[in-house]
Amino acid sequence: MSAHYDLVHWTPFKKKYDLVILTGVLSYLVLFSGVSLLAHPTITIETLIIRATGSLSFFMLHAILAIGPLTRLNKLFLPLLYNRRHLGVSMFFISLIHGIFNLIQFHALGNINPIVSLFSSNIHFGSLSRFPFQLLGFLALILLAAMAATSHDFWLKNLGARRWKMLHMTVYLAYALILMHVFLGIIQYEHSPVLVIAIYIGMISLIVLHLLAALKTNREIKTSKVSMSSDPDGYLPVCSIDDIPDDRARMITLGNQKIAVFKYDHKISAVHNQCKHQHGPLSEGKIIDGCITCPWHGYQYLPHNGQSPAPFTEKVATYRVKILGQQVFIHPDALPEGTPCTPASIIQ
Amino acid sequence: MSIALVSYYFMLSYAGIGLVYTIHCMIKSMQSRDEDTIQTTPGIKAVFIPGMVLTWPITILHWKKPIDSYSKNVQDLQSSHLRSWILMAIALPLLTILALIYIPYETVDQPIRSTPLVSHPHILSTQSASHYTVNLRGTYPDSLQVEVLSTQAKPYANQTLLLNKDHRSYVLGQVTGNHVNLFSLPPGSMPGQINLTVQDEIKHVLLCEITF
Repeated sequence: MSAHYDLVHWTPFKKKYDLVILTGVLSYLVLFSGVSLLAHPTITIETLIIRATGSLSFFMLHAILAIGPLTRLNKLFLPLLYNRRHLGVSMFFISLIHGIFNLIQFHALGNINPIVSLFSSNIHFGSLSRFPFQLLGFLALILLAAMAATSHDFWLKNLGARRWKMLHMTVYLAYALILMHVFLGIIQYEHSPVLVIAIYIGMISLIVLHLLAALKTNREIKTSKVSMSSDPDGYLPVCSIDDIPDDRARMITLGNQKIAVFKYDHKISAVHNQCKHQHGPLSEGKIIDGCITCPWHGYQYLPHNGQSPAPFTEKVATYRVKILGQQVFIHPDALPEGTPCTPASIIQ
Repeated sequence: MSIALVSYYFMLSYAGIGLVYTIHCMIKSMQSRDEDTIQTTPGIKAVFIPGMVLTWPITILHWKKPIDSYSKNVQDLQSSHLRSWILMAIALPLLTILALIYIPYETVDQPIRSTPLVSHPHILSTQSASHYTVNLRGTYPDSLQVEVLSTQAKPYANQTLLLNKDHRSYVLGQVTGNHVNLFSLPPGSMPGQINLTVQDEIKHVLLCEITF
């Protein structure tokens, strides 16, 4: 959201968020190392690093994947979403350490190129128990690398929001690969039921959370759908003024369009519901300093024209609004992004 | 050429093309395609390099054919999201249960007896993909003798044999012709054998086939 790119748009909240990540990571590594050394005093430092980073990155991936559906289910989790990409990048670097140490430990001691060795050392693709699980981890690491490397806003703009989102949705594939990497790898050697139960709890929790969130979204879309019978001017009745909280919005669905209808300063304005940044739901945001503020990352738009305040350049589509009595009407044809549109005044 | 080599050269070529394309973009076209990069410092631009090397086909596609019909986007992505998790809800439990069922409790890494009899040495065998048979022979407590037999007369000069013990690899020796010259590793081991001092570790002895 700027006329030039910075490495990170630091805010006090982001600093606090990253401090929590760093503290959590260090605490986990210290705790894991301590417990491992007590349980296996002869463990080598390489093995310790491989196990600590592997388990930590797996745990972090669960947290990352849980944040999205949690915020859909309960707004209290929104602060976790705000800087999730830093959590993702941190998780990638920890996975990378795990991958590099594995590659050195298991594939760099011979006279074959380590990558070639990775692909050729185990070719039991037809066997579940002897499946080349390291390859699954390697493929997941490539996906994570692509996501971490394109996590900067530069990429959102230069890959396009849709392609960027699709690329970052491969995190689900990465999760499936990592889960099978763990099950066909470490679980084949470490037969501890505690480990298996913990992994199952994580997997089932994620599946349930994502399905519940998807069901909630579908339900919201259904309830926000309005009748397409318009008045002679083409306006559609969408809701009552009292249905919209002050400085907040109500989402309505017209055909395939989702629209955020905001009430602020005794006025009503309507904009497209999708934030230009990462497609965050603007209707779940609120008016801060006179601007619609996206709940996900704080991107802002002026409600009367859908434009980000200068010097920023993002724009969303606007919609014509009118009020008759207590009823709010919206014209279903979106105006071009950033088009000024007179708000409808609420007469007291 | 093996699949492993093809995969390796494919990855190398992909990254190589990506790097050339990235350099070209950085020098020539980036500022015209994204004016926000004009005032961006070179240090920040360097952060974009790994992403461009990894995703250059998508970047080219976007710069040639941008798409921004964004009301349709969300519907599609929400459907993809739901479909992905329904698929995972079915596939992941199924695959993980299968993986648990087929855990190899009795394979080459089965425990070696703590006091194998010299007259009846406990031998664990595995066969490499290249027709090598590798035997682990327990000769006395905490010690293993490794022998490599080849069913082919094909020379494998300069190949290295690894022993993977407790998630750690040891170089055992070098293959010359049809036999292996075993190195003495770790310190204190006699040629042709490895001393495993912790009985628990012996459970996890597993031969790697990675070097054949």
